[in-house]
Amino acid sequence: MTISLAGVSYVVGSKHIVNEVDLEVGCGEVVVLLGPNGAGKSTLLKLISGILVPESGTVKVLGKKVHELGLAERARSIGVLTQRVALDFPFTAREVIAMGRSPYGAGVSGAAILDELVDELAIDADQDYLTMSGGERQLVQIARVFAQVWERGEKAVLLMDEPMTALDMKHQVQVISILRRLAKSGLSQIVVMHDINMAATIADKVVLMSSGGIVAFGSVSDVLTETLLEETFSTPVEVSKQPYFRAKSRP
Amino acid sequence: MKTLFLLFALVISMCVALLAGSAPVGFQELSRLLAGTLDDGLSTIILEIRLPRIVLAVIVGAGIASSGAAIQGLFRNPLADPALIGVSAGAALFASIYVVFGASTPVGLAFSAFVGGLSATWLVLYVGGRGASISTMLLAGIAINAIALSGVGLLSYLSTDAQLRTISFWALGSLNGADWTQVLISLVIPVSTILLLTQSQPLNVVTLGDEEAEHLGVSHQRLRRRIILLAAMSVGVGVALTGVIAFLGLVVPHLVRMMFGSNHQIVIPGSALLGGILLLFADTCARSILAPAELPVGIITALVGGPFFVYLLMREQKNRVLV
Repeated sequence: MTISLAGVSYVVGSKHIVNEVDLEVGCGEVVVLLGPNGAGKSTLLKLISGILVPESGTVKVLGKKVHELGLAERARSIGVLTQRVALDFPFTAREVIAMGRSPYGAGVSGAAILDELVDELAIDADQDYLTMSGGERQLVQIARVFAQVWERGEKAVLLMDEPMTALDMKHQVQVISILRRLAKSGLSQIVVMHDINMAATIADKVVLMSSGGIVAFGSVSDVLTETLLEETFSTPVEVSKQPYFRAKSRP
Repeated sequence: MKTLFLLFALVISMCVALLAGSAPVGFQELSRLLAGTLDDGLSTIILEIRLPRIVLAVIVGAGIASSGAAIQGLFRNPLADPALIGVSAGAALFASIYVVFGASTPVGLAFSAFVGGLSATWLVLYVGGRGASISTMLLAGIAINAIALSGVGLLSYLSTDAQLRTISFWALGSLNGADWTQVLISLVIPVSTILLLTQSQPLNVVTLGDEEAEHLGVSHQRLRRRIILLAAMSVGVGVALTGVIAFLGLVVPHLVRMMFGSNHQIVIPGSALLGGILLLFADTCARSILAPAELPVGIITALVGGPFFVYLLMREQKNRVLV
Protein backbone atom coordinates (compact mmCIF):
# COMPACT_ATOMS: atom_id res chain seq x y z
CA MET A 1 0.00 0.00 0.00
CA THR A 2 1.41 3.41 -0.89
CA ILE A 3 -0.96 5.40 1.31
CA SER A 4 -2.44 3.91 4.45
CA LEU A 5 -4.47 5.55 7.19
CA ALA A 6 -5.39 3.77 10.40
CA GLY A 7 -7.85 5.26 12.89
CA VAL A 8 -7.04 8.83 11.86
CA SER A 9 -8.94 11.58 13.68
CA TYR A 10 -8.60 15.35 13.66
CA VAL A 11 -10.41 17.52 16.17
CA VAL A 12 -10.94 21.28 16.28
CA GLY A 13 -12.40 22.40 19.61
CA SER A 14 -14.88 19.64 20.34
CA LYS A 15 -15.73 18.95 16.69
CA HIS A 16 -14.37 15.88 14.95
CA ILE A 17 -13.48 17.20 11.48
CA VAL A 18 -12.07 13.77 10.57
CA ASN A 19 -13.28 10.80 12.58
CA GLU A 20 -11.55 7.41 12.85
CA VAL A 21 -10.72 7.11 9.15
CA ASP A 22 -9.10 3.96 7.76
CA LEU A 23 -8.02 4.02 4.12
CA GLU A 24 -5.67 2.01 1.93
CA VAL A 25 -4.54 3.15 -1.51
CA GLY A 26 -2.59 0.73 -3.68
CA CYS A 27 0.26 1.46 -6.08
CA GLY A 28 -0.94 3.37 -9.15
CA GLU A 29 -4.53 3.63 -7.92
CA VAL A 30 -6.63 6.74 -8.50
CA VAL A 31 -8.95 7.31 -5.55
CA VAL A 32 -11.55 10.08 -5.71
CA LEU A 33 -12.87 11.63 -2.49
CA LEU A 34 -16.49 12.75 -2.80
CA GLY A 35 -18.75 14.27 -0.21
CA PRO A 36 -20.80 17.33 0.71
CA ASN A 37 -19.17 20.62 1.75
CA GLY A 38 -17.69 20.34 5.22
CA ALA A 39 -17.41 16.53 5.03
CA GLY A 40 -13.70 16.72 5.91
CA LYS A 41 -12.24 15.91 2.46
CA SER A 42 -9.71 18.76 2.32
CA THR A 43 -8.73 18.20 5.96
CA LEU A 44 -8.13 14.52 5.22
CA LEU A 45 -5.89 15.55 2.32
CA LYS A 46 -3.97 17.89 4.64
CA LEU A 47 -3.50 15.05 7.13
CA ILE A 48 -2.12 12.77 4.41
CA SER A 49 0.18 15.52 3.06
CA GLY A 50 1.61 16.15 6.55
CA ILE A 51 0.44 19.76 6.88
CA LEU A 52 -1.86 18.78 9.75
CA VAL A 53 -0.97 16.35 12.53
CA PRO A 54 -3.74 13.89 13.46
CA GLU A 55 -5.15 13.86 16.97
CA SER A 56 -4.94 10.07 16.89
CA GLY A 57 -4.12 7.34 14.41
CA THR A 58 -1.30 7.01 11.91
CA VAL A 59 -0.77 8.20 8.35
CA LYS A 60 1.78 6.30 6.29
CA VAL A 61 2.97 7.23 2.83
CA LEU A 62 5.23 4.81 0.93
CA GLY A 63 5.60 2.77 4.11
CA LYS A 64 6.83 5.63 6.30
CA LYS A 65 4.95 7.69 8.87
CA VAL A 66 4.39 11.01 7.14
CA HIS A 67 5.51 13.07 10.15
CA GLU A 68 8.79 11.28 10.36
CA LEU A 69 9.71 12.35 6.82
CA GLY A 70 12.00 15.38 6.56
CA LEU A 71 10.61 18.33 4.58
CA ALA A 72 12.86 17.63 1.58
CA GLU A 73 11.99 13.92 1.47
CA ARG A 74 8.31 14.74 1.90
CA ALA A 75 8.47 17.14 -1.05
CA ARG A 76 10.00 14.44 -3.24
CA SER A 77 7.44 11.87 -2.12
CA ILE A 78 4.17 13.83 -2.03
CA GLY A 79 2.97 16.28 -4.67
CA VAL A 80 0.08 18.42 -3.49
CA LEU A 81 -2.28 20.77 -5.31
CA THR A 82 -4.14 22.90 -2.79
CA GLN A 83 -7.48 24.53 -3.48
CA ARG A 84 -6.43 28.12 -3.92
CA VAL A 85 -2.96 29.39 -4.67
CA ALA A 86 -2.65 33.14 -4.22
CA LEU A 87 0.35 34.24 -6.26
CA ASP A 88 0.69 38.00 -6.56
CA PHE A 89 3.94 38.41 -8.47
CA PRO A 90 4.42 38.63 -12.23
CA PHE A 91 6.25 35.33 -12.72
CA THR A 92 6.04 33.73 -16.16
CA ALA A 93 4.01 30.54 -16.46
CA ARG A 94 7.23 28.59 -16.98
CA GLU A 95 8.81 30.01 -13.83
CA VAL A 96 5.77 28.95 -11.80
CA ILE A 97 5.85 25.42 -13.24
CA ALA A 98 9.62 25.26 -12.59
CA MET A 99 8.95 25.80 -8.86
CA GLY A 100 7.66 22.23 -8.88
CA ARG A 101 11.22 21.07 -9.54
CA SER A 102 12.70 22.89 -6.53
CA PRO A 103 12.66 19.81 -4.24
CA TYR A 104 15.29 18.32 -6.53
CA GLY A 105 17.90 20.98 -5.78
CA ALA A 106 18.57 24.52 -6.89
CA GLY A 107 20.71 23.42 -9.83
CA VAL A 108 18.15 21.00 -11.24
CA SER A 109 15.85 22.72 -13.71
CA GLY A 110 14.26 19.63 -15.27
CA ALA A 111 14.05 21.63 -18.50
CA ALA A 112 12.95 18.63 -20.55
CA ILE A 113 10.08 17.92 -18.14
CA LEU A 114 8.96 21.55 -18.25
CA ASP A 115 9.07 21.56 -22.07
CA GLU A 116 7.00 18.39 -22.20
CA LEU A 117 4.36 19.73 -19.81
CA VAL A 118 4.12 23.15 -21.44
CA ASP A 119 3.75 21.46 -24.83
CA GLU A 120 1.19 18.88 -23.82
CA LEU A 121 -1.03 21.30 -21.91
CA ALA A 122 -0.55 24.03 -24.55
CA ILE A 123 0.50 26.60 -21.95
CA ASP A 124 1.99 29.90 -23.13
CA ALA A 125 5.21 29.52 -21.16
CA ASP A 126 6.26 33.17 -21.36
CA GLN A 127 2.91 34.67 -20.39
CA ASP A 128 2.80 36.71 -17.18
CA TYR A 129 0.88 34.63 -14.61
CA LEU A 130 -0.99 37.71 -13.39
CA THR A 131 -2.44 38.37 -16.84
CA MET A 132 -3.93 34.86 -17.00
CA SER A 133 -7.57 33.95 -16.37
CA GLY A 134 -8.59 31.84 -13.36
CA GLY A 135 -8.70 28.66 -15.45
CA GLU A 136 -5.32 29.32 -17.06
CA ARG A 137 -3.77 29.92 -13.64
CA GLN A 138 -5.27 26.66 -12.38
CA LEU A 139 -3.75 24.81 -15.33
CA VAL A 140 -0.32 26.30 -14.58
CA GLN A 141 -0.62 25.21 -10.94
CA ILE A 142 -1.61 21.70 -12.02
CA ALA A 143 1.42 21.62 -14.35
CA ARG A 144 3.61 22.72 -11.41
CA VAL A 145 2.45 19.78 -9.31
CA PHE A 146 2.84 17.40 -12.27
CA ALA A 147 6.43 18.66 -12.64
CA GLN A 148 7.00 17.79 -8.98
CA VAL A 149 6.02 14.12 -9.37
CA TRP A 150 6.89 13.60 -13.05
CA GLU A 151 8.96 10.45 -13.59
CA ARG A 152 8.70 9.58 -9.88
CA GLY A 153 6.25 6.73 -10.59
CA GLU A 154 5.76 4.49 -7.58
CA LYS A 155 8.27 6.50 -5.51
CA ALA A 156 5.70 9.28 -5.00
CA VAL A 157 2.00 10.00 -4.50
CA LEU A 158 -0.15 12.84 -5.80
CA LEU A 159 -2.87 14.63 -3.80
CA MET A 160 -5.14 17.12 -5.57
CA ASP A 161 -7.91 19.24 -4.10
CA GLU A 162 -10.55 20.11 -6.69
CA PRO A 163 -8.17 20.32 -9.65
CA MET A 164 -10.81 20.47 -12.39
CA THR A 165 -13.12 23.18 -11.02
CA ALA A 166 -11.94 26.07 -13.19
CA LEU A 167 -10.85 24.11 -16.27
CA ASP A 168 -12.64 24.05 -19.62
CA MET A 169 -13.54 20.72 -21.25
CA LYS A 170 -10.45 20.50 -23.43
CA HIS A 171 -8.10 21.01 -20.52
CA GLN A 172 -10.07 18.63 -18.33
CA VAL A 173 -9.53 15.91 -20.95
CA GLN A 174 -5.81 16.73 -21.19
CA VAL A 175 -5.36 16.67 -17.41
CA ILE A 176 -7.27 13.38 -17.10
CA SER A 177 -5.12 11.82 -19.79
CA ILE A 178 -1.95 12.83 -17.90
CA LEU A 179 -3.43 11.59 -14.60
CA ARG A 180 -4.11 8.19 -16.17
CA ARG A 181 -0.63 8.01 -17.63
CA LEU A 182 0.96 8.89 -14.29
CA ALA A 183 -1.20 6.23 -12.61
CA LYS A 184 0.09 3.64 -15.11
CA SER A 185 3.64 4.56 -14.11
CA GLY A 186 2.74 3.58 -10.53
CA LEU A 187 1.89 7.02 -9.09
CA SER A 188 -0.96 6.68 -6.58
CA GLN A 189 -3.40 9.57 -6.47
CA ILE A 190 -6.10 10.93 -4.22
CA VAL A 191 -8.28 13.55 -5.86
CA VAL A 192 -10.96 15.58 -4.10
CA MET A 193 -13.80 16.63 -6.39
CA HIS A 194 -17.45 17.62 -6.54
CA ASP A 195 -18.29 16.48 -10.06
CA ILE A 196 -19.63 12.94 -9.67
CA ASN A 197 -19.57 12.26 -13.43
CA MET A 198 -15.94 13.26 -13.58
CA ALA A 199 -15.22 11.07 -10.56
CA ALA A 200 -16.81 8.10 -12.35
CA THR A 201 -14.58 8.79 -15.35
CA ILE A 202 -11.22 8.92 -13.62
CA ALA A 203 -11.53 6.87 -10.41
CA ASP A 204 -10.32 3.35 -9.80
CA LYS A 205 -11.97 3.62 -6.41
CA VAL A 206 -14.27 6.15 -4.80
CA VAL A 207 -14.50 7.27 -1.17
CA LEU A 208 -17.77 8.82 0.00
CA MET A 209 -17.26 11.02 3.03
CA SER A 210 -19.77 12.63 5.35
CA SER A 211 -19.35 14.38 8.73
CA GLY A 212 -15.66 13.46 8.94
CA GLY A 213 -16.17 9.74 8.43
CA ILE A 214 -16.08 7.35 5.48
CA VAL A 215 -19.56 6.27 4.36
CA ALA A 216 -18.39 3.94 1.59
CA PHE A 217 -15.16 2.94 -0.12
CA GLY A 218 -14.90 0.75 -3.19
CA SER A 219 -15.23 0.56 -6.96
CA VAL A 220 -17.25 3.14 -8.91
CA SER A 221 -20.17 0.77 -9.46
CA ASP A 222 -20.26 -0.25 -5.79
CA VAL A 223 -20.12 3.25 -4.33
CA LEU A 224 -21.87 5.56 -6.79
CA THR A 225 -25.32 4.11 -6.19
CA GLU A 226 -28.53 6.08 -5.73
CA THR A 227 -28.95 4.92 -2.14
CA LEU A 228 -25.43 5.81 -1.02
CA LEU A 229 -25.38 9.15 -2.86
CA GLU A 230 -28.80 10.15 -1.50
CA GLU A 231 -27.73 9.22 2.00
CA THR A 232 -24.44 11.15 1.72
CA PHE A 233 -25.68 14.31 -0.01
CA SER A 234 -29.20 14.34 1.54
CA THR A 235 -30.78 15.01 -1.84
CA PRO A 236 -32.65 12.81 -4.36
CA VAL A 237 -30.31 11.33 -6.98
CA GLU A 238 -30.86 9.43 -10.22
CA VAL A 239 -27.92 7.45 -11.54
CA SER A 240 -27.78 7.29 -15.33
CA LYS A 241 -25.00 5.67 -17.28
CA GLN A 242 -25.61 7.90 -20.32
CA PRO A 243 -24.47 11.46 -19.65
CA TYR A 244 -25.66 14.18 -22.01
CA PHE A 245 -22.10 15.01 -23.06
CA ARG A 246 -18.95 13.00 -23.00
CA ALA A 247 -15.54 14.04 -24.34
CA LYS A 248 -14.19 11.41 -26.73
CA SER A 249 -10.92 9.89 -25.67
CA ARG A 250 -8.06 10.70 -27.99
CA PRO A 251 -7.00 8.15 -30.60
CA MET B 1 23.28 39.69 -18.89
CA LYS B 2 20.54 41.75 -17.25
CA THR B 3 22.56 42.30 -14.10
CA LEU B 4 25.67 43.06 -16.18
CA PHE B 5 23.78 45.95 -17.74
CA LEU B 6 22.99 47.32 -14.27
CA LEU B 7 26.59 46.77 -13.16
CA PHE B 8 27.77 48.82 -16.12
CA ALA B 9 25.26 51.57 -15.26
CA LEU B 10 26.51 51.55 -11.66
CA VAL B 11 30.12 52.07 -12.72
CA ILE B 12 29.11 54.98 -14.99
CA SER B 13 27.05 56.53 -12.16
CA MET B 14 29.99 56.28 -9.77
CA CYS B 15 32.24 58.09 -12.27
CA VAL B 16 29.65 60.83 -12.81
CA ALA B 17 29.17 61.23 -9.05
CA LEU B 18 32.91 61.56 -8.58
CA LEU B 19 32.95 64.53 -10.98
CA ALA B 20 29.86 66.25 -9.55
CA GLY B 21 30.07 68.76 -6.70
CA SER B 22 31.11 72.25 -5.74
CA ALA B 23 34.87 71.62 -5.98
CA PRO B 24 35.91 71.45 -9.64
CA VAL B 25 36.99 67.91 -10.46
CA GLY B 26 37.28 66.89 -14.12
CA PHE B 27 38.92 64.12 -16.11
CA GLN B 28 42.20 66.06 -16.01
CA GLU B 29 42.20 66.12 -12.22
CA LEU B 30 41.38 62.40 -12.11
CA SER B 31 44.26 61.53 -14.41
CA ARG B 32 46.59 63.75 -12.36
CA LEU B 33 45.34 61.97 -9.23
CA LEU B 34 46.18 58.59 -10.76
CA ALA B 35 49.61 59.89 -11.76
CA GLY B 36 50.14 61.22 -8.21
CA THR B 37 50.59 64.85 -9.31
CA LEU B 38 47.35 66.33 -8.00
CA ASP B 39 47.59 68.89 -5.18
CA ASP B 40 46.70 67.77 -1.65
CA GLY B 41 43.50 69.78 -1.31
CA LEU B 42 41.76 68.28 -4.35
CA SER B 43 43.04 64.77 -3.74
CA THR B 44 41.67 64.93 -0.18
CA ILE B 45 38.31 66.01 -1.59
CA ILE B 46 38.31 63.11 -4.05
CA LEU B 47 39.77 60.37 -1.86
CA GLU B 48 38.57 61.28 1.61
CA ILE B 49 35.25 63.03 0.97
CA ARG B 50 33.68 62.07 -2.36
CA LEU B 51 34.89 58.50 -2.80
CA PRO B 52 33.85 57.14 0.64
CA ARG B 53 30.53 58.93 0.28
CA ILE B 54 29.94 57.37 -3.16
CA VAL B 55 30.90 53.90 -1.96
CA LEU B 56 28.71 54.25 1.15
CA ALA B 57 25.73 55.43 -0.94
CA VAL B 58 26.08 52.44 -3.25
CA ILE B 59 26.42 49.93 -0.41
CA VAL B 60 23.56 51.34 1.70
CA GLY B 61 21.27 51.71 -1.35
CA ALA B 62 22.05 48.14 -2.37
CA GLY B 63 21.32 46.84 1.13
CA ILE B 64 17.99 48.66 1.52
CA ALA B 65 16.72 47.73 -1.95
CA SER B 66 17.75 44.06 -1.86
CA SER B 67 16.22 43.72 1.62
CA GLY B 68 13.04 45.30 0.24
CA ALA B 69 12.96 42.71 -2.54
CA ALA B 70 13.36 39.83 -0.10
CA ILE B 71 10.80 41.22 2.37
CA GLN B 72 8.25 41.69 -0.43
CA GLY B 73 8.76 38.09 -1.54
CA LEU B 74 8.54 36.79 2.01
CA PHE B 75 5.35 38.73 2.82
CA ARG B 76 3.98 37.86 -0.64
CA ASN B 77 3.14 41.50 -1.03
CA PRO B 78 4.71 43.68 -3.71
CA LEU B 79 3.86 46.72 -1.58
CA ALA B 80 5.77 45.58 1.50
CA ASP B 81 8.76 47.57 2.69
CA PRO B 82 11.68 46.79 5.02
CA ALA B 83 10.13 49.31 7.45
CA LEU B 84 7.39 46.70 8.03
CA ILE B 85 9.71 44.60 10.18
CA GLY B 86 10.14 47.58 12.50
CA VAL B 87 13.83 48.13 11.82
CA SER B 88 13.60 51.79 10.76
CA ALA B 89 11.17 52.82 13.49
CA GLY B 90 13.17 50.98 16.16
CA ALA B 91 16.34 52.67 14.95
CA ALA B 92 14.62 56.07 14.95
CA LEU B 93 13.39 55.55 18.53
CA PHE B 94 16.79 54.56 19.90
CA ALA B 95 18.52 57.33 17.95
CA SER B 96 16.09 59.85 19.49
CA ILE B 97 16.63 58.42 22.99
CA TYR B 98 20.37 58.76 22.47
CA VAL B 99 20.08 62.36 21.25
CA VAL B 100 17.76 63.46 24.06
CA PHE B 101 19.34 61.60 26.99
CA GLY B 102 22.86 60.81 25.84
CA ALA B 103 25.83 62.57 24.37
CA SER B 104 25.89 63.44 20.71
CA THR B 105 28.78 61.59 19.13
CA PRO B 106 27.95 60.26 15.65
CA VAL B 107 29.33 56.81 16.50
CA GLY B 108 27.11 56.56 19.58
CA LEU B 109 24.10 57.70 17.54
CA ALA B 110 24.79 55.08 14.87
CA PHE B 111 25.33 52.35 17.44
CA SER B 112 22.14 53.04 19.36
CA ALA B 113 20.16 53.26 16.08
CA PHE B 114 21.52 49.86 15.12
CA VAL B 115 20.62 48.33 18.49
CA GLY B 116 17.14 49.89 18.24
CA GLY B 117 16.58 48.54 14.73
CA LEU B 118 17.52 45.00 15.68
CA SER B 119 15.53 45.11 18.96
CA ALA B 120 12.34 46.21 17.17
CA THR B 121 12.80 43.49 14.56
CA TRP B 122 13.35 40.90 17.26
CA LEU B 123 10.12 42.06 18.93
CA VAL B 124 8.20 41.73 15.63
CA LEU B 125 9.61 38.22 15.19
CA TYR B 126 8.78 37.33 18.80
CA VAL B 127 5.19 38.59 18.71
CA GLY B 128 4.28 37.55 15.20
CA GLY B 129 6.72 34.81 14.37
CA ARG B 130 5.90 31.86 16.55
CA GLY B 131 3.98 29.81 14.05
CA ALA B 132 1.66 32.73 13.39
CA SER B 133 0.44 33.57 9.92
CA ILE B 134 2.13 36.16 7.78
CA SER B 135 -0.75 38.60 8.33
CA THR B 136 -0.36 38.36 12.14
CA MET B 137 3.24 39.24 11.65
CA LEU B 138 2.40 42.18 9.39
CA LEU B 139 0.03 43.47 12.06
CA ALA B 140 2.69 42.99 14.74
CA GLY B 141 5.07 45.02 12.54
CA ILE B 142 2.52 47.80 12.12
CA ALA B 143 1.83 47.91 15.87
CA ILE B 144 5.51 48.01 16.84
CA ASN B 145 6.16 50.67 14.19
CA ALA B 146 3.36 52.78 15.64
CA ILE B 147 4.63 52.37 19.21
CA ALA B 148 8.20 53.28 18.24
CA LEU B 149 7.13 56.29 16.20
CA SER B 150 4.94 57.59 19.02
CA GLY B 151 8.04 57.30 21.25
CA VAL B 152 9.95 59.39 18.69
CA GLY B 153 7.10 61.93 18.76
CA LEU B 154 7.20 62.13 22.56
CA LEU B 155 10.97 62.55 22.59
CA SER B 156 10.76 65.25 19.91
CA TYR B 157 8.27 67.07 22.13
CA LEU B 158 10.63 66.85 25.12
CA SER B 159 13.78 67.77 23.21
CA THR B 160 15.53 71.11 23.00
CA ASP B 161 15.65 72.95 19.66
CA ALA B 162 19.16 71.70 18.88
CA GLN B 163 18.24 68.11 19.76
CA LEU B 164 15.09 68.34 17.67
CA ARG B 165 17.13 69.46 14.69
CA THR B 166 19.50 66.48 15.08
CA ILE B 167 16.57 64.06 15.38
CA SER B 168 14.73 65.40 12.34
CA PHE B 169 17.88 65.62 10.23
CA TRP B 170 18.68 62.02 11.09
CA ALA B 171 15.12 60.96 10.33
CA LEU B 172 15.37 62.49 6.85
CA GLY B 173 18.56 60.61 6.01
CA SER B 174 21.90 62.00 4.88
CA LEU B 175 25.25 60.74 3.67
CA ASN B 176 27.01 63.91 4.75
CA GLY B 177 30.29 63.24 6.56
CA ALA B 178 30.73 59.71 5.20
CA ASP B 179 34.26 58.40 5.77
CA TRP B 180 36.19 55.18 5.24
CA THR B 181 35.45 53.95 8.78
CA GLN B 182 31.75 54.06 7.97
CA VAL B 183 32.43 52.28 4.69
CA LEU B 184 34.29 49.59 6.63
CA ILE B 185 31.33 49.13 9.01
CA SER B 186 28.94 49.04 6.05
CA LEU B 187 30.71 45.96 4.63
CA VAL B 188 28.29 43.91 6.75
CA ILE B 189 25.70 44.87 4.10
CA PRO B 190 27.22 43.11 1.06
CA VAL B 191 27.73 40.01 3.19
CA SER B 192 24.07 39.87 4.16
CA THR B 193 23.02 40.71 0.58
CA ILE B 194 24.97 37.69 -0.68
CA LEU B 195 23.37 35.53 2.02
CA LEU B 196 19.95 36.85 0.91
CA LEU B 197 20.82 35.85 -2.64
CA THR B 198 21.37 32.25 -1.52
CA GLN B 199 17.71 32.25 -0.41
CA SER B 200 16.35 33.20 -3.86
CA GLN B 201 14.86 29.83 -4.78
CA PRO B 202 13.06 29.35 -1.41
CA LEU B 203 11.80 32.93 -1.76
CA ASN B 204 10.39 32.13 -5.21
CA VAL B 205 8.60 29.10 -3.79
CA VAL B 206 7.19 30.89 -0.73
CA THR B 207 5.37 33.38 -2.97
CA LEU B 208 2.95 30.50 -3.71
CA GLY B 209 1.91 30.41 -0.04
CA ASP B 210 3.25 28.96 3.23
CA GLU B 211 1.51 25.62 2.78
CA GLU B 212 2.57 25.28 -0.84
CA ALA B 213 6.16 26.14 0.13
CA GLU B 214 6.13 23.35 2.70
CA HIS B 215 4.88 20.92 0.07
CA LEU B 216 7.88 21.93 -2.02
CA GLY B 217 10.32 21.34 0.83
CA VAL B 218 10.71 24.91 2.13
CA SER B 219 10.10 25.61 5.82
CA HIS B 220 8.44 29.01 5.74
CA GLN B 221 9.14 29.60 9.42
CA ARG B 222 12.86 29.02 9.08
CA LEU B 223 12.95 31.08 5.88
CA ARG B 224 11.06 33.89 7.62
CA ARG B 225 13.57 34.06 10.49
CA ARG B 226 16.51 33.97 8.10
CA ILE B 227 15.20 36.66 5.73
CA ILE B 228 14.09 39.00 8.50
CA LEU B 229 17.40 38.77 10.33
CA LEU B 230 19.43 39.33 7.15
CA ALA B 231 17.22 42.26 6.08
CA ALA B 232 17.42 43.74 9.59
CA MET B 233 21.22 43.52 9.47
CA SER B 234 21.38 45.29 6.09
CA VAL B 235 18.80 47.95 6.82
CA GLY B 236 19.86 48.30 10.47
CA VAL B 237 23.47 49.08 9.55
CA GLY B 238 22.31 51.31 6.67
CA VAL B 239 19.90 53.30 8.82
CA ALA B 240 22.45 53.59 11.60
CA LEU B 241 25.01 55.10 9.23
CA THR B 242 22.80 57.33 7.11
CA GLY B 243 19.44 57.80 8.85
CA VAL B 244 16.09 56.78 7.39
CA ILE B 245 16.01 56.66 3.61
CA ALA B 246 12.45 56.52 2.41
CA PHE B 247 10.93 54.66 -0.53
CA LEU B 248 14.05 52.95 -1.86
CA GLY B 249 13.14 49.53 -0.44
CA LEU B 250 9.65 49.77 -1.85
CA VAL B 251 10.20 51.25 -5.32
CA VAL B 252 13.42 49.62 -6.50
CA PRO B 253 12.33 45.93 -6.35
CA HIS B 254 9.14 46.95 -8.11
CA LEU B 255 11.12 48.59 -10.92
CA VAL B 256 13.38 45.56 -11.23
CA ARG B 257 10.37 43.22 -11.45
CA MET B 258 8.88 45.37 -14.19
CA MET B 259 12.12 45.20 -16.15
CA PHE B 260 13.33 41.67 -15.49
CA GLY B 261 10.42 39.63 -14.05
CA SER B 262 9.90 38.16 -10.59
CA ASN B 263 12.56 35.47 -10.24
CA HIS B 264 14.41 36.35 -7.02
CA GLN B 265 17.66 35.07 -8.49
CA ILE B 266 17.52 38.22 -10.64
CA VAL B 267 15.35 40.48 -8.48
CA ILE B 268 17.73 40.43 -5.48
CA PRO B 269 21.00 41.26 -7.27
CA GLY B 270 19.10 43.54 -9.67
CA SER B 271 17.58 45.46 -6.75
CA ALA B 272 20.98 45.70 -5.05
CA LEU B 273 22.54 47.25 -8.17
CA LEU B 274 19.63 49.56 -8.99
CA GLY B 275 19.28 50.56 -5.32
CA GLY B 276 22.97 51.50 -5.30
CA ILE B 277 22.57 53.52 -8.51
CA LEU B 278 19.45 55.37 -7.33
CA LEU B 279 20.73 56.26 -3.86
CA LEU B 280 23.96 57.48 -5.42
CA PHE B 281 21.97 59.55 -7.92
CA ALA B 282 19.76 60.99 -5.17
CA ASP B 283 22.76 61.79 -2.99
CA THR B 284 24.59 63.45 -5.88
CA CYS B 285 21.49 65.61 -6.46
CA ALA B 286 21.24 66.30 -2.70
CA ARG B 287 24.76 67.71 -2.56
CA SER B 288 24.71 69.46 -5.97
CA ILE B 289 21.32 71.20 -6.21
CA LEU B 290 21.98 73.78 -3.49
CA ALA B 291 25.79 73.43 -3.37
CA PRO B 292 27.64 74.15 -1.16
CA ALA B 293 24.56 73.59 1.08
CA GLU B 294 22.97 70.12 1.20
CA LEU B 295 19.47 68.67 1.17
CA PRO B 296 18.77 65.53 3.22
CA VAL B 297 18.84 62.66 0.73
CA GLY B 298 15.68 61.07 2.21
CA ILE B 299 13.71 64.08 1.00
CA ILE B 300 14.87 63.50 -2.57
CA THR B 301 14.19 59.73 -2.54
CA ALA B 302 10.68 60.31 -1.19
CA LEU B 303 9.97 63.32 -3.39
CA VAL B 304 10.98 61.54 -6.58
CA GLY B 305 10.12 57.98 -5.52
CA GLY B 306 6.60 58.74 -4.25
CA PRO B 307 5.02 60.26 -7.37
CA PHE B 308 6.92 57.86 -9.63
CA PHE B 309 5.55 54.93 -7.65
CA VAL B 310 2.00 56.24 -7.97
CA TYR B 311 2.53 56.51 -11.74
CA LEU B 312 3.82 52.92 -11.88
CA LEU B 313 0.86 51.62 -9.92
CA MET B 314 -1.62 53.35 -12.18
CA ARG B 315 0.14 52.14 -15.32
CA GLU B 316 0.33 48.59 -14.05
CA GLN B 317 -3.32 48.52 -13.05
CA LYS B 318 -4.23 49.07 -16.69
CA ASN B 319 -2.18 46.08 -17.87
CA ARG B 320 -3.41 43.50 -15.40
CA VAL B 321 -6.44 41.25 -15.55
CA LEU B 322 -8.39 41.23 -12.31
CA VAL B 323 -9.24 37.64 -11.46
